[in-house]
Amino acid sequence: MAEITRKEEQILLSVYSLSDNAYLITIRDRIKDFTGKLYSVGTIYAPLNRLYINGYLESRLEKAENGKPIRYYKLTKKGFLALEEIRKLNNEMWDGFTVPAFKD
Amino acid sequence: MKCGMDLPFLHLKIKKLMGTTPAKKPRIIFSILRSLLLRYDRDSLYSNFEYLYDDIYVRKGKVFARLWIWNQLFLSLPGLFSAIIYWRFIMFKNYLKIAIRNIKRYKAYSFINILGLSVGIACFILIMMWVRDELSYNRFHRDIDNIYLVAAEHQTGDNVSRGIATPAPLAAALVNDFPEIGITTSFVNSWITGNTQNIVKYNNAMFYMDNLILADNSFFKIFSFKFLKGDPRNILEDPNGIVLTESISNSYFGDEDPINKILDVDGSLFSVSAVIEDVPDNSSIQFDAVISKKYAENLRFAFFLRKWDSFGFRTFVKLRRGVNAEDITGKISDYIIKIDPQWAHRPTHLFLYPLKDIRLYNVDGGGMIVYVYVFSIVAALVLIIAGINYTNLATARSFNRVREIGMRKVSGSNRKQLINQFMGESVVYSILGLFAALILVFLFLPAFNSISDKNLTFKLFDTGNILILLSVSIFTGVISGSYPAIYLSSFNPVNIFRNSVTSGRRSALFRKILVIMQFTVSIGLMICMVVIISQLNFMRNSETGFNKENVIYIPLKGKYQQNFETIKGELLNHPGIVNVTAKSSFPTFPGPTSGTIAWEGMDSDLQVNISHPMVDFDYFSTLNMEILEGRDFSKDVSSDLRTAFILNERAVEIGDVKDPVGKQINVNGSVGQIIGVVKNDQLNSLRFEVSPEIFHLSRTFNEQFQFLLIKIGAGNEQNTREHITEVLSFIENKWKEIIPEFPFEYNFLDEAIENQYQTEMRVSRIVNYFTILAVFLSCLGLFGLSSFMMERRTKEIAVRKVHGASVSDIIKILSRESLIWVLTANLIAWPVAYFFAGKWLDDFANRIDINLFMFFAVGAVSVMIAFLTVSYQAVRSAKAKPVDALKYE
Repeated sequence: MAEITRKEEQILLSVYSLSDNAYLITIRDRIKDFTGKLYSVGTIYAPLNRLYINGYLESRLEKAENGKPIRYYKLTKKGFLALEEIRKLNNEMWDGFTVPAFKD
Repeated sequence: MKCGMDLPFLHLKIKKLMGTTPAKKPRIIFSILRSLLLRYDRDSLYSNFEYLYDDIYVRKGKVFARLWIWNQLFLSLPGLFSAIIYWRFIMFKNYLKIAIRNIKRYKAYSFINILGLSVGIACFILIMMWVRDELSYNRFHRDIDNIYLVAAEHQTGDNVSRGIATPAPLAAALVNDFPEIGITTSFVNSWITGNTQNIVKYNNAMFYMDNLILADNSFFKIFSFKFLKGDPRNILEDPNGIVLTESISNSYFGDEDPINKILDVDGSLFSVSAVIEDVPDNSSIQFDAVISKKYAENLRFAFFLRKWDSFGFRTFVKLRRGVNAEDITGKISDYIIKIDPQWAHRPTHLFLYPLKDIRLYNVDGGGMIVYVYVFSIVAALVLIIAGINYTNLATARSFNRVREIGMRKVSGSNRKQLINQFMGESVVYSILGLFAALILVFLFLPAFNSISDKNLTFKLFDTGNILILLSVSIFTGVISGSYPAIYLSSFNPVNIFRNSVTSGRRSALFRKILVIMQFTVSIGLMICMVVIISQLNFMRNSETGFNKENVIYIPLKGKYQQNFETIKGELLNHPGIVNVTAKSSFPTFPGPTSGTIAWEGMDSDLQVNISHPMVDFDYFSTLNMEILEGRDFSKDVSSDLRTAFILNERAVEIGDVKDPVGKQINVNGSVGQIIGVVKNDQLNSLRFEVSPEIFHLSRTFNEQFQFLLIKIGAGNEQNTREHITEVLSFIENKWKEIIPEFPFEYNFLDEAIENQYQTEMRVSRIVNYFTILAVFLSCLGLFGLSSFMMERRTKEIAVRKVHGASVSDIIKILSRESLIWVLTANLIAWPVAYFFAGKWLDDFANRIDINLFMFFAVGAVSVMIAFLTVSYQAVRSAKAKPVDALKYE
């Protein structure tokens, strides 16, 4: 699998945590909830689109209230497997991590 | 509807329920935003922005919302751009794959297409390299913007002439009298020291140095020549110092350190004070070595350095920053007249001329700028023609893919996608064409260098170059691919499957005109090529050049210019040497004309300019010149040495001398008798008329013999070459024995005569290459167009075949149209070519006549070429099975 950047990882996890309600604005808000940073729409869109093109996410177009379409995203199997891999890797590398006591 | 229960939008829902209208959006910024979004996602993305905007509008008011959307736009720009680029990249990979698949499927067409493009791009590259080189002349000097040449404008009566030669003391005087001029320098070729050619000796080796200049000590302060060894400060202060260029230094000293070594130059000793990098080719100032002007001050020619009425130096100034050249010109204009009043009646004005303009715009008019424009236009034209050929060919080929396009459209791709696909293909073609072009450039660069007399190198790995090349080829691909792309994507699938696709009438006419034009140019060039080659052959093979085989000439120097009898005698001892003689000027040079010539019975009003070379005994027999009247010079007649003159036919003709033999003649004060008339023999280029000449033996007028001429016998048929080599080594040994102080250097006379035609040969080569190029491109164009036309007529051909037409009938019908085009092109080209070729020939005193046969021959060849070009496609079409064409009816 190609390298998944940190931003992409965060987006994937946000999509996961949003279940059925993942679209650009909600993903953006969820990332703000997690990291505290409200990124611009374009900044979220670029990795989101990349993930979609490469098959980590699937999407569907739905019409919202005012008739304009909105694209909803969901994790695909490939996306799940990628996240699983990252988690495994993190577990291995983070295993037993403790911050030592510093003098100052 | 899934938008449901999001808190941010709750109040929007409430608003909707309450019936208020959605917020008004600032049009401009939203449309900018919209255009930046990817097409397939545009609406959904846009609606995201709309929601956010509405939300903020409601929550925080109009002003804040506007600020927010501006902010969002700027922040989102990088993300959106990267999305766009990413998407394009992926599409590009896809198109690339398809394009390569298509190329493989139609190998022949693809090959021809790429070849056409690559030829166009290669030409463009070569010509642009040339142009860039021309534009770069002299730019390497650090202060080039402030360096000016001081030029002189001479007025004699109504005549104004401009030149770059100035008096020697001018440089020093200018810098003294005009403080705005920062610094001046001047230099001159070493001939003022009295030597026409410099001989350098070091460690018993002898070399000729061609280009030695004398300069003052500010020379290297104005001009930026890079010092490799030695100290640039105080350079040229020492009257016995010499600065060498790198290759000269290497050839004298090899690996040794040259600094402070002593060289003997024409008898004077110099010590090497520095070595500089070779003078670059694109410098108008060329030299091999520099010595100090102070050296000349110790010679008897020193007075020359102080004369104001002798112009031979080149003077340059470097102005201080901010000083205006025109002001200075105004101030120095009358400088010379003020210093030396004798110039008042033949006024000479000085003016400043920027060094950076010298190559393109000569001081006296002309210069390379015309060529730069012409060639740039030619380069652009070639590229355009290649592009148009590609367009034609691609459009022709497109009929093969009509069904594919129909299928794509039916499956849902829209027009834009198709356009992108075909444009992508064009770009792929042109990039492939670029690679092929690079190979072509690499192959043809040496030839190009030789015809343009330059030393261009191709720096592929210069990033600037790569960018330019890529953009040129992509640009070409896009432009030439746009028409086929638009054209192809416009097909209506219904029509395609009904097989009733037609093309516009107007475009066909434009294409036909283009092909005819291309052929006209080609035919015109072919005619010119034939004319030039004929003229060249005529000049080389005409009688006068013939019997000068195996004659060599050696420069005579020093005392041997008068006393070469010894070596002449020694050489004549060898049986292989037929004859030895000498001449006072370069063998192919008709000789200086001067002074007054008068003969008995001459018309007193007649003014003639006849050259009078001094020759040795046996001159005419050495060069196989026939004495028509009277007799040759003879050793037996003692008075011949002082008083005998022989005229050539032309001199007799020009001077209208009746019964020349025996008449008294006065040449520049030397009185004597005409003893004979020799047949005209022209050694210089036949471009000029035969020069009238008066030959004499006597050593008056301070003339010296400059060249020894030796005729070597041919030996017997089998071993002519070894024989000549053997004789040459004999001569060399004798030379070294008798004349040790001068290096042995010889040249063949017939080669020297050939060299006269350098210009014409170069013109011939250029025309040849251009002709081949034009013919090639025209064939490409014709091929493309005829393929296109024939594809359209598949049904018609099928119907004809069914009705009994044979293959050859069909071929005739198909090629008829093309032949008409070629004949039209011929008709247009003939008069134009006749006119231009005639003008070129007018420059020649001896010229051939343009005869009709040339035109017909070229015409026949052009018809043949055209026929061959269309025959491939014609045969294919003619052989196609009618079944295939009519299948869909």
